[in-house]
Amino acid sequence: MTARRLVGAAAVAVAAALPPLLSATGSATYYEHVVVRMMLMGLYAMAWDFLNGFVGLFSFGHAAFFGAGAYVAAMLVVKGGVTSAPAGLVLGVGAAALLGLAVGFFAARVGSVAVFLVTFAFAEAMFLLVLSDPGGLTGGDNGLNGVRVAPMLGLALDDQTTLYYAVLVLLVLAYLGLSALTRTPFGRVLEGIRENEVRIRFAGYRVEAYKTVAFGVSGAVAGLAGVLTAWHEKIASPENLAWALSGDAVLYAVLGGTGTLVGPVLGASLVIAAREVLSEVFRSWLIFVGLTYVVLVFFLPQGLYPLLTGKGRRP
Amino acid sequence: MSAMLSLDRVTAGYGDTTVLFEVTLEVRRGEAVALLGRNGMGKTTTLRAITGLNPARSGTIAFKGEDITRRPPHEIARLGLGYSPEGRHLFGPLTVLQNLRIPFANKARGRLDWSAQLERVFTLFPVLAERRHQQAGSLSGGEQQMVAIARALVGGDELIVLDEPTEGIAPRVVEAIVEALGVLKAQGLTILLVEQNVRTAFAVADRGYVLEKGRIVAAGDIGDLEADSALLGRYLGVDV
Amino acid sequence: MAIVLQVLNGLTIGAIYILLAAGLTIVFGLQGIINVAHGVFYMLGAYLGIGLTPTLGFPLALVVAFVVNAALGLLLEVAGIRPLVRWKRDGMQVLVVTLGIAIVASEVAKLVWGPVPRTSDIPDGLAGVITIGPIVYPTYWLFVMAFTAVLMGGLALAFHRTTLGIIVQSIALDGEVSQAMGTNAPRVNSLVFALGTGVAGVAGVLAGPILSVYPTMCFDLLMILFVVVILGGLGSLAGVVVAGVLVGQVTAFGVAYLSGTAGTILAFAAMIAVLVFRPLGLFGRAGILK
Repeated sequence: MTARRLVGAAAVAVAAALPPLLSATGSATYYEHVVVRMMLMGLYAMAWDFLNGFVGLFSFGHAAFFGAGAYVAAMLVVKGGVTSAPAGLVLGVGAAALLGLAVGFFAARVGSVAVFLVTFAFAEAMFLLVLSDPGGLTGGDNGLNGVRVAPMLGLALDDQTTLYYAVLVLLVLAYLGLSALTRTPFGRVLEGIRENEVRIRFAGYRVEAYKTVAFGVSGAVAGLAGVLTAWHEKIASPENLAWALSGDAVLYAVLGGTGTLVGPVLGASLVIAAREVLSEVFRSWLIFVGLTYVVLVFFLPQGLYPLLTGKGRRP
Repeated sequence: MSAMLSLDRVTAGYGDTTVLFEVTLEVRRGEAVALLGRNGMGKTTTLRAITGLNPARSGTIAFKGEDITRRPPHEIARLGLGYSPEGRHLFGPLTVLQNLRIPFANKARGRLDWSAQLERVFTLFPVLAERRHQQAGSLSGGEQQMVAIARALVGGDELIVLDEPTEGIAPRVVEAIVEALGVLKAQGLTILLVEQNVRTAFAVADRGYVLEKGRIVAAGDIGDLEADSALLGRYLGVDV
Repeated sequence: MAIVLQVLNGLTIGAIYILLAAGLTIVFGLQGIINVAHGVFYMLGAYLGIGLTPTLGFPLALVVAFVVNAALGLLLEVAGIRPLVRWKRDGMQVLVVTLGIAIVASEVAKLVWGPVPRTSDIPDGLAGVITIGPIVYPTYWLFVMAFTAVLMGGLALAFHRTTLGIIVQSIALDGEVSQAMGTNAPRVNSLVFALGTGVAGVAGVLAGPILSVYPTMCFDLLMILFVVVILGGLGSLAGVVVAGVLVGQVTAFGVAYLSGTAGTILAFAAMIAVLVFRPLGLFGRAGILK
């Protein structure tokens, strides 16, 4: 077991032990809520890291996939009256995966800066679309409230503690899944694309197809985070599609260390913890986000680039 | 007589690859020096190190007594070093006049007279006078090469560095260019010439260096080099 | 009749787009970088316009907006972008840095001026309407169109007739060779950058009476600007003009007949299509995006 694995296992153990420990304090619900958010944002950032750290594609529109999962899950319950959790999962993740494939289809065919623009455009378009409340389906500005799902497999998912453990399990499963994926031949090709796309193309691989599928996978995982968030917060709102959320994925992954899959979870936890503490003190949290971007680029010894492409890192 | 341009143990390359290994050479004022060698031996890398486009990793390059090893390209150019790149690289959509105007404005505005410099260029290459308002990209290969050489001296440069000036040019035009270079030399211009075409090199240069895999393997008066057919055969792939 | 009015509306909006996109596209053509903070200068200009017009008058407010934003742009370029270029960092990093600065700037603006949108008043001399036959149109909007046309005409002249303009073109065509011809590219790039941000500031002042002014306007417009820049072809002023007019029309008609969203989404779709199928856009030259 590598050091990273040990730390990861320890973190999972700690997380598993938290709820009973926290119930001794007065604000157990609040802390649990924050930790669930950390895990879900970590999952979301992990999805982004898969695409960026391993395939080298810098998406600035991951909120689209997250939001797709959140809104599909919410619409099912609020508009469709379908409270089945499995349905929410399958449809939410599925929708996000399909969206990922669609975006990936275009993003796979353009250069790196263009990927930023294309993904940004998709996410912004979705954001505007949802805001305009087409057919009364999305609740416009206010979003969709009251997302409660029925128990699945005997687990009451609208109980925060139960959801906590469900999320923890899913987070670990997602990590193991993505990590295993990077070790398959498919994953090797993806990494090859990041390292030297021309050579991979010469070797006969259809690079565009691989990139598209990678987008689909990344979208699916981000969508999963979205579905779970909708269940957790009991609401889906346009914030789930805002470009700031897309930027958050980047921030969490870069802070925590790209190309590691675990780093983003760490980054998300750090930033969310800091946000909770600092937003009491400072009126504007976003200023720190902006400054962090600038500082990261300038003061990290090798700049963002080695981090952004995850060179020399393994899950 | 100290050298106008001197390279002292210059090592240079691209990324992780080293192409030049401790190259030492010099060009004295008023002479024409040829840098010979086959493709990929490091000739262009040498010129890019001199012009500052791809700075040397170690060693020193001095021009007119000043250390230019790590100076930015525009400063080196403004010291009086003119450059005609391999493949010419003219500013295609701009006219011949505009192409010439740029180095002039950067190097000589206020110092030299524009019409006098143009006069000098057009006397050297009369055909350019007719084409002065034409888009540079629409000229023939030979005419483009003339513009490239003109760009290298219109700013009042003292040393002109030419990378493969006769590559892909019709023989008749090659003659014209060789003749022009002779005229420039007679006017006191110093020339550093990279050439694969040994015949041109022999016609123009006084001395030569031979590069093989990034190292200088031979040097001397051009007459001596020309006479050494074994050398020519081994390093330049020439059957004489 | 209504159509003519919409066309005119589209031209006015398009004019603002053109003024803003011009700076973006030239900087990209020269240095291959995307300045996400470009919108910040637009926003600053708008707020300056609101604040200064009552005291200094409209013409002077325009001048001040230009000077202040040019100076700030120069500062950004020299301190924030030039080092990255010199260290040969990836274009993505410049993008991230300018993004960070844009976020900080808009947040500071929110703290200073509050998040509530404002509109400035139409300057006294340009109030009222002009009547041409059956068409009645606000004078100020026509002024914006005319101003843009004159300014762009001036820029085009500058780029094609002056020596500095030709030098700028040479950098866009072949930066290395231009430097070997003695061009101080870093300095020229900085100046052009500052020119772009200065013009963005002017666009902000002009837009004040037409569009609403609020701290996050620097981002909202950015996407449309990208669309204009890419449609027109990166690095092409002519492209920006044509694309700006087109997108302006799409926006105007979209807002009037469909919904604001539909127009924007159409524009995004067009941009994605261009990026994928014809990366050069209408007039673009070098394949800088690949």
